[in-house]
Amino acid sequence: MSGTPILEVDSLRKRYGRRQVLDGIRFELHAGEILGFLGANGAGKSTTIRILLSLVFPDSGSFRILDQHFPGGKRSVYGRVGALVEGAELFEHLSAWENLRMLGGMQGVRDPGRLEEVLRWVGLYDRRKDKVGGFSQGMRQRLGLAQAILHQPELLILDEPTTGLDPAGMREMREGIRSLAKESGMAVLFSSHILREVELLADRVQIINLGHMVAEGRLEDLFEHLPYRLVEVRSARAGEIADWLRARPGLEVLNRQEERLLLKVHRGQAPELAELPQLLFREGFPLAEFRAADSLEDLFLDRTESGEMGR
Amino acid sequence: MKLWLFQLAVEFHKTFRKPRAIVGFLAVLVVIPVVMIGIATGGEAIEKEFARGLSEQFLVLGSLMNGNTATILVLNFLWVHVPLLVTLVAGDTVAGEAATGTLRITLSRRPGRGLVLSAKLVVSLCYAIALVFLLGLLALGLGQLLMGGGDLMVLTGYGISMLGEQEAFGRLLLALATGALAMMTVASLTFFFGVLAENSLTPVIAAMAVIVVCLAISGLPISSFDWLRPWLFTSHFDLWTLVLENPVPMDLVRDSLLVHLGYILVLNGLSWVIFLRKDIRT
Repeated sequence: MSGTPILEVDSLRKRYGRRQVLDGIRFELHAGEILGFLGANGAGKSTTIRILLSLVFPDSGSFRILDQHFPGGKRSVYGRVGALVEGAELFEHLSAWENLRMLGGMQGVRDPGRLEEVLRWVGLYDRRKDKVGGFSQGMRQRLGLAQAILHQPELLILDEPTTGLDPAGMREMREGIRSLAKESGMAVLFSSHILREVELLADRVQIINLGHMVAEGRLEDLFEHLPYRLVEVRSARAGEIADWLRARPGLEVLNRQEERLLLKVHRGQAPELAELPQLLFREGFPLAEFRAADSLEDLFLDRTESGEMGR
Repeated sequence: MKLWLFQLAVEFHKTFRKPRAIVGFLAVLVVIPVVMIGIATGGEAIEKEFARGLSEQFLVLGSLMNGNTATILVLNFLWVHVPLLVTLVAGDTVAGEAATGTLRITLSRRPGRGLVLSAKLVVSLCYAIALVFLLGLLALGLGQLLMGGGDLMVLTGYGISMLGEQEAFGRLLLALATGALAMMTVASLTFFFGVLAENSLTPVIAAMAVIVVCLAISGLPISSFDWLRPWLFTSHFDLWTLVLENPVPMDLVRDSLLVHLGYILVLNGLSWVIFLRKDIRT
């Protein structure tokens, strides 16, 4: 992808109490591109998105939206950003029309014609006078998308945009987002923990786990051209194994959680994958599990199903 | 400025359409007429109580109760009842939106945090003012209608103060203004707790707890609290009664005004500092 990125994120770090939520997140997003931000619940996707929207302040690192560098950038740039963060929480005691009029007004949109156009686009024009409190989750999501695109932003940030939608609604949402990116040239960052969703929508993916970027790139590249293998090891002596591996070339310990280790084995630099268990046994390390984890689906499912690992 | 005015209009629209804000006004619109009708139709007992206390020193001729005096009785709602209504709304403006998640949708837009917070604060303060003036003017209007005007008799801490009918109206408006100032302090306190909390109940409970405890300390004749009492805002809740005295004790009024303004400035300053640095995680 050429040209100056619309969004550039550099080494974001954030800690909540003792928990390192983000640890060196970096990526970029270009105009017209759809970037899927994939990770299990609690992986750090929402925190990253909240930092990008200045809802949460990073401990270190920076990001650039269009021409503004944060921290310290001009707030006015958010007039060119649309966002839907963790479900469409709107003002329930007000109607759909009032919600859009207020939220659009904050972004400088006062034209009733534009409100009508967007409400028709998300299929809620006939319900515009109804209070949002009476809306289904799917209707709220659609209204949430409406408020995010009302001012025709250059960057659209969507956190789990298909939450609560039925299959037809999910497809409509996907088609809507795709048309925004392709026809308007909008750069779209969307987070999801649903692999299928990302596969169907994203041009490129970022996989985040425990605050680290564990994979990044176009889907086909990730599947076919990984320069390394990911391996999951489970052992009662995981800590010692991690120390032993760190001293070996071509081997990286990406994560350690109790008895589990996630290793990155660089092709051509480290021992062949098949030799690793033997080497570990020879050093006297007991292994309860040693498995490849380098398919995107495997990696993702493993993160979402493994409890502590996914947090 | 244009953006701030729009944000202010948004906050007014949101807040004054909320059921809890409407309930506050409805409570006043229902309770005050009931109380005033009660005083007008069955006020003899209150009047006898007044007269009994005064009969040893004064010869009481005619009726002590009139629309002005009845308004003073109603203004006693400013001690606890009105503060409760004020906290319900002031506690919701930030914390309520944090709880429902609408705060993040507001703060992820063009207006900055300071702008949003200041608009919310102005609305909270305006609600407190509106509530006091609605209560007072409704009581005054109904009082004039049901009982007519007359001299205003005020029982002060150390005697009785009488104001002629001509002067009474202006003094009552002054009482409402100073009562509103005290309620602005309550709103500021609740707003401060609202910035710290992430649900709308916590600031209400916290603010009411502080008010009740401080009222107790202000009212208890315990000498060990003598040093503290002048600094408690609840010790100056009676500011509205001071401006009804004749002559007005200007030094006491000045002290009370300064204490209330001090609380308002400090609490809102703290709210500002905290909110501008707070991570919005809800």
